Amino acid sequence: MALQAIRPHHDDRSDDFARLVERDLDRVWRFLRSLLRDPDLARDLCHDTFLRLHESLRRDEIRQLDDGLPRAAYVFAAARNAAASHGRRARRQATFGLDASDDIADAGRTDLALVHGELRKDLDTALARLDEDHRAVFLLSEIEGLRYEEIAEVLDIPAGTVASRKHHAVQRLRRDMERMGHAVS
Amino acid sequence: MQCHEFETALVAWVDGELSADATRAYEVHAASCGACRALIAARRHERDRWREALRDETPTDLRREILVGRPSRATLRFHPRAWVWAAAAAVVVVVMLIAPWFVVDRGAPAEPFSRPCTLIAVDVEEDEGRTLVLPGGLI
Ligand SMILES: [Zn+2]
Repeated sequence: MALQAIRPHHDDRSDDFARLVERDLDRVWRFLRSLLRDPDLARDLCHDTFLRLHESLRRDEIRQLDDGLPRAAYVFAAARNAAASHGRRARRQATFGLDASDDIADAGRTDLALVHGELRKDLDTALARLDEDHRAVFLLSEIEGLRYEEIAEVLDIPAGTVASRKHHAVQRLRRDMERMGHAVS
Repeated sequence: MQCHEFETALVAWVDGELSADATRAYEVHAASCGACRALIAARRHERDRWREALRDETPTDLRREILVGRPSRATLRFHPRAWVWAAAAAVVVVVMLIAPWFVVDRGAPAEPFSRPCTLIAVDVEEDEGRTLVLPGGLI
C-alpha cells in the first residue's frame, strides 16, 4: 500500500504551495466540514484536496492568478472532487458488505454544539436536511462568498441552476430555522 | 415591479447577482416600498448571522500536517480492490512455498523452486483518489 503524504518539495513551487495552504485551508476545511457533516472525514478530504493541488502545482497544470496561485473556483473544485471520489468509494464499500456508515456519521456534532451554541447546532441540523447539491451551493455562496459563475464552474452546472438552488436553500433553511425558534428579527 | 417579484429575486439581489437592468428596477422599487426595504435588511442580517455561526476554527494541527506531510486516513483505508490484490498475492506466495513438495522427483526439484523465494513488494494502490477531474474550461 502506498503511503500518500504531501511533502514539501524543494522546488520553486514549494513556496506557492505554502501560500496556497495559508490562503485556502480555512475555507476548504469549513466547506468540507459543513458539506459532509463529519469533522474526521472533512479532515481526511482536506489532505486529499491539498495533495491534488500540490500535484497540480508541481506539474504546472494550473493556470494561475497574478500571484501564482490558482483561482478559488479551482481550489473548491478540487475539494468537491475529493468529496465525490470519497462518495464513490463509500458506495463501493457498501456493495462489498463493508460498513461505510462511519463515513456519514454525525461524529463530533455534540462537541460542536458546545463550542458554537444552539444557533450552530440548529443550523447544522437544518443544513443536514438539504440535499448535498443545495448544501454545496449554499455553502459556496453564502459562507464562502463565491460568485454564481464561479460556483457553476465548481459544480459543473449552469449559473441559472446555481441561482435557483441558492434561493430554495435559503427558503428551506429559513423555514427550518424559524421552526427551531430562530426567526430573523 | 411588484412586491412579490421583488421577493422572488431578493436572495440573488443581496448576493449582487442581478443584471444591471434588474438591479435598477430593484432600486427604484426599494426606494418607494418600506416593506421590501425591510426584507432586504432581514436577508442581510440573516446572511451575516449564518456566516458567523458557520465560521469554523480549522484544527490547529491540520495546517502543519498538510505542510509537513502525513498519510491521509482516507488514502490509507483498505479498499475492496486492494483486498482482491492482497488475496491474489497471498495465493501466489502459498503456491510458491508448497509447490516443491508436490514435484514428483523430490531429489531434483525443478527451477525455480529449488531456491528460496522472496516476495519483494506488492504495491497496492487505489488510483481513483488520485484522479483530478475538473469541469471543462476551468483551468
Ligand atoms: Zn415592495
